[in-house]
Amino acid sequence: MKLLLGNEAVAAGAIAGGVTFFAGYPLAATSEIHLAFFRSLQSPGAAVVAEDTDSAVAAALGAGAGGGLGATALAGPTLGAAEELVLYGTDFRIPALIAVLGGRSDFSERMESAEQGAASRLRLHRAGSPLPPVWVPASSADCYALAKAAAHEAVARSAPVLLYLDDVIAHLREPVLLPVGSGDAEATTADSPPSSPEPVELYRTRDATVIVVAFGIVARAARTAVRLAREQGLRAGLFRPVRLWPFPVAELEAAVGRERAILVAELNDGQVWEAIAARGSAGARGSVRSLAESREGMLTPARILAAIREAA
Amino acid sequence: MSVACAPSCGLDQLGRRVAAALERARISPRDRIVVTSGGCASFVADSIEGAHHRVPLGRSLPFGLGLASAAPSRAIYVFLGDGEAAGVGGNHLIHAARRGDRIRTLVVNNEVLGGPGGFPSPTTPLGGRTAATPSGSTSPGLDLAALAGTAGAAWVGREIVSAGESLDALLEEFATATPFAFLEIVAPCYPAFGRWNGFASPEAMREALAERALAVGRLWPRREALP
Repeated sequence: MKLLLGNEAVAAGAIAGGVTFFAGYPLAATSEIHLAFFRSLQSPGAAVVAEDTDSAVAAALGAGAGGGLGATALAGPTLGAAEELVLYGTDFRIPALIAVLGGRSDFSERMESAEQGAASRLRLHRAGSPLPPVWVPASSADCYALAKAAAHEAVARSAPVLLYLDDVIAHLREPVLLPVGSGDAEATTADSPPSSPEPVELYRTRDATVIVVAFGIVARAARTAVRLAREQGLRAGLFRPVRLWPFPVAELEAAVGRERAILVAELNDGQVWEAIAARGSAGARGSVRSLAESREGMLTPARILAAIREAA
Repeated sequence: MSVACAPSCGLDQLGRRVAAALERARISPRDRIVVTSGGCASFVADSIEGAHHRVPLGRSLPFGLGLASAAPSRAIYVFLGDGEAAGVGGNHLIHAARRGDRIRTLVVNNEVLGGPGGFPSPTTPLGGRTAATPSGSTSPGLDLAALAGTAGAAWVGREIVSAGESLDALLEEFATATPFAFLEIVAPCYPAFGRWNGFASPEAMREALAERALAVGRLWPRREALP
């Protein structure tokens, strides 16, 4: 058991999953990921400070094309041109592990507030190509497990796989159960491949009349809100997409029955709500509401509870 | 806007010369990986057998960096045009040279962005006319070989595409040169550059290029002081 930042757990999980190479342009939001890779990948040239985000993604893909497995970490707003490279990797079947942080530029102001503003940008469209999978951890233990699983998935699918961390998950220090015998993040020999992670986590959805959809740190606040709602006699449930894209639509449709309301809680301007509402399918018979917060930096259980009460 | 290619640029022959030099240097197709993106330099790679990655424009060098790490037994060759080497991927060149990435890169410098129809590239000389700048480029061209040397390349060379045997010798040395190795091949682009700059024919342009006072041959590490 170790206390790890989400960022540190990402690197540890990625290396346990078989990542052999890391390139990145360090920003404050991602720096712990870079540092952990530099400390763990000791062979010469295995960890590189790239000159920018594009070169970092290109180098990670190069490692994949050369028979290794490359990883990088970047901040949401720097995804811009790197997006082309991710899609190139998808089209040419090159594995890579790409961790994306938060949603704002790396300005030091407001670093204390969380953001999920890159959510919709990570839905990387290209006609005729599969959507690269994006996994969203909600704890340090999740960061480790999902990074490891994503590394395996990248190799199995021969494609880039993304992890998306909001600022709180990236910088929360929490216990992570590491495999026996592994040091800080030195489990270079991948232990037994994990089974694919479940794309969703459900909490008390069976008889719920209001289903809260939330991911990352908001899923944890929502879980508390659901518990409080139940104590007050409100039939609420939590649907957490662990895989944000492709969105687990079938799972949502299965969880949401007749006449149930959906409440999408997220730290941005309603990006995931927009994607769900636009489909119209899951919420066709109920309503799809948005609880979007892009200014205060956090959605508290109390605010989510109030929104549940309104939707019920 | 596009221009019809003229065979006079010599890139088809350059490809064959590079392939022959690799063979003389005993770098077999299994021992090497070639990376290119857009630009005329990618045509050069078409003559070279073996693994070839064509990546998004500008990112050939960092892709090569990852390849070099994951495939330590292979030689990595990156072919760039002057647009990628000095423009869209210019920063990558500086840092690949500075870090000493295990890459050998060959730049075809035709001093113009010819593919999109004729725009000044970072290496277009002062006053050089293009379709987009008919009254002449207003800034001096960047000296790519000097830039690579300043940034820390272990081996730097430059030659003109029509140099024949001396080009062959330089290509052979380049094939096994200490990385980061940088070879600039200056080539004439008549349709996008020559005809805008008063040359009567592709041949006249090639002759003018041969007479230009370019420092050519192996420039670094130096055997003797340059004139």
